[in-house]
Amino acid sequence: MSSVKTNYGYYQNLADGTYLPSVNYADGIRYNIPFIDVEQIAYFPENRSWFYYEEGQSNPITWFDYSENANSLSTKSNFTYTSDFSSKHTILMNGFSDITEEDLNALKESFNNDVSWLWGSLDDGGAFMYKSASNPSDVNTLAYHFMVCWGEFEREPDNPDYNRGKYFYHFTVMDGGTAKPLDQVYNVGFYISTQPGSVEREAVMNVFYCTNREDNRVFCGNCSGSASVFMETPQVATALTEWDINIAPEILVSTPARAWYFEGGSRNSNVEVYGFDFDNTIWISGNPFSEDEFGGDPAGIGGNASGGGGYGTPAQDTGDVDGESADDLNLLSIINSGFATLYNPTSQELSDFASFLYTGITDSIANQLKKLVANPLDYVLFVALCKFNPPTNGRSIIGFGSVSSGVSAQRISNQFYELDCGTISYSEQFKSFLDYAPNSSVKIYLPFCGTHDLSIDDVMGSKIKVNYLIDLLSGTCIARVKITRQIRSTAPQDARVNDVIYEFQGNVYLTAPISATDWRGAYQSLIGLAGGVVGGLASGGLAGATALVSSVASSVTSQKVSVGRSGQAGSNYGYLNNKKPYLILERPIQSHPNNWGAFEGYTTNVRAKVSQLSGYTEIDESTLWTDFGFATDEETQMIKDIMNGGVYL
Amino acid sequence: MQAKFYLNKSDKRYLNKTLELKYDNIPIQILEPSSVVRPRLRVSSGLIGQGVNYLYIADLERYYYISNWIMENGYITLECEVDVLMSFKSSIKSQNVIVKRNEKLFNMYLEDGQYKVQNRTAVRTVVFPSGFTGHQIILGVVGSPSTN
Repeated sequence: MSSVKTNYGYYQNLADGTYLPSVNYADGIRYNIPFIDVEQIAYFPENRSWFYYEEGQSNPITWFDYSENANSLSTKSNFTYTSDFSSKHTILMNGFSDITEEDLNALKESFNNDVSWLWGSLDDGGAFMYKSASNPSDVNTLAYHFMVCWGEFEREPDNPDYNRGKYFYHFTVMDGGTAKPLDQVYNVGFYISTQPGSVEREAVMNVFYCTNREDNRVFCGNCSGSASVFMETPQVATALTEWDINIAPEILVSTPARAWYFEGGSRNSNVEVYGFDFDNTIWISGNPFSEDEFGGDPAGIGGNASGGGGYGTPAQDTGDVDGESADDLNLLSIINSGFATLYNPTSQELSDFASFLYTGITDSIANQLKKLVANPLDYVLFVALCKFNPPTNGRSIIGFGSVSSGVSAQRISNQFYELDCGTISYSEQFKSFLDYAPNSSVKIYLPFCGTHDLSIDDVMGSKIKVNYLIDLLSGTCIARVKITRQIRSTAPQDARVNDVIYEFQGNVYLTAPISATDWRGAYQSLIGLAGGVVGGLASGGLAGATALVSSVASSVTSQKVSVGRSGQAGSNYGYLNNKKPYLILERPIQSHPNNWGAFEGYTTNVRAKVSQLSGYTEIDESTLWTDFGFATDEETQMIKDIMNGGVYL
Repeated sequence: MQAKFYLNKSDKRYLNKTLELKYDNIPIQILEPSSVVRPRLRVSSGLIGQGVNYLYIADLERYYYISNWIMENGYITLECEVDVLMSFKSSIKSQNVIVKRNEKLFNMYLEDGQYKVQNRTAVRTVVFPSGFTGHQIILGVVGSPSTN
């Protein structure tokens, strides 16, 4: 199979750009399993049937048999569920490459819109599930079918029968029938390989099924004892784990409802939770949902851009941008050169030093000092207050030129110092365009550096780390904002990021003048700063502001006044400001009536057959319509006008 | 020529109408001149009652809304307009289209000008776990520490 539709495309083998499956937890790459949809399930086009072979059997068994009169899978002959986990079946490999569009459409129709969902690839290995009516006389009895399979590989090199097989493993979880125990978990093993012909890893698809609304926690049977998936409402979820590693870094739940992954009794925020729906759409939460993150009316789940949506090969990650490190800079510094020394005195020690300066300098000392400078106070570079603990390496007598002050204090060991402010995560609230500019905005306040705009595209779905690099000799600082984001899809916007992408300058010292001259200069400079412009005042929108009638999202945000939220932040001002960085998030408040989508639909941009669609639908004017049989020109235009304006399918 | 008369309970924008058959195989006369899009029909009074608003003419292979009902001289004259959705449903369903909006298939990351938001925004802050703490004095002097 050469074409793999990566709808959300979050799996790809980046090494060669091809869609091959592999799992490699060790280096941080989570999965390389391609995600494709039902159109590429193998089957025989000549009779529109899927076949499989029992192991050791020579006659194929019809698995799905499409016919004009069939209305559900369960009415097909020879369609069986397998509750025996030990049985394995082989799908014939011949059906992949000769599927016509007509055949694919017929195949989809046979599912009656209970579209299969694939996580992985039947051709190259993966797992998938779909639902269908388990009892044709009662559409409420749903069956969830889970299948895993893997591609060609030589499981038994000396047995040619296994060389070209595709295996799948199928079982069913029933709903509406026999009540399930709380911890209903099905474990299915399958193999994943990076290339046909090899088996590199055996993984497990754990299926959680929850029916009990009182306590919706089910436990991963193959995970550590305290690992669990918490779900609201009866639903199913799958989690891929490694067979021999009891972790579940990704979980998929059957509805875009709340789901969390708990490990060791607390929520594991490092676990990605993905929701999917049975109409072949999937959303990615980034981080597990929390109550406040879910926001107002759920905007829905990301749909299928069906190619043309920018799903290309992402730019290859060429390396991390970390910025300069203090350790590297400290390999060569001024303060250990003999020209200058920095100390970290206590208040008393500084007071003692001041006493030495103003009362303890004898005539002989003064004469000695004046050999180099006219004013002995020029030997003092600065005195400053700071809001951090500088690195020190023991006590020393403060030298004053060539003279001993007699005052000892901690000596600062390095000129350059890093201060880590930690990491936070930033994730979507609406799971929609409302989370992005211009509808939402994000700024960052950085102590001593002020408030600055960040690009939402840079930080969305990422971990944001702030780290200061400080020159202790001058107080100059660089606040570095580092963005970390794991590979999430083949789309360029979801490429791996681990880079410092923002740097802002400032000064962390509250410097005290130590002479009358210094005071005059400092005072005047402070006055000048106070009269300076407070950054980021209103720009755009004010002059042309008009009353908003509809309060459409983009209109509202474009008319909003852009305000500055801090003035000067460096130096003396910065000493008085907040001491922890923080993000300032501004988001819209959406307003939706209940079931809004049923009346107006949501935006999409896909190509589909009308028969595959349901609910409110608007067809784009760019559609190239084929003939409508015997319709007149006027009728044809009427059809187009209605379909463009909105119909209920 | 005959027609089936229905009570249509669905909005005109529905592709599949919910129809309740009221009168079957009623003889009708198409008045001339009539277009296939907006025909005028004549039906004898008494063959149909008021509880219909929709009809199907097999000879024309089309469904029609009854847009006007005129009674005169023992006949009912019906002014109709074709329901292109029901009449050409099969052709429509077989079309491959570019979907602009849909209730169930969507991409929420596409800008949607029909979204309504309030004129106020929600502002919140997320504080980093660490920052600047403590109060320290830094003293910088020329030269090295004294060895005296």
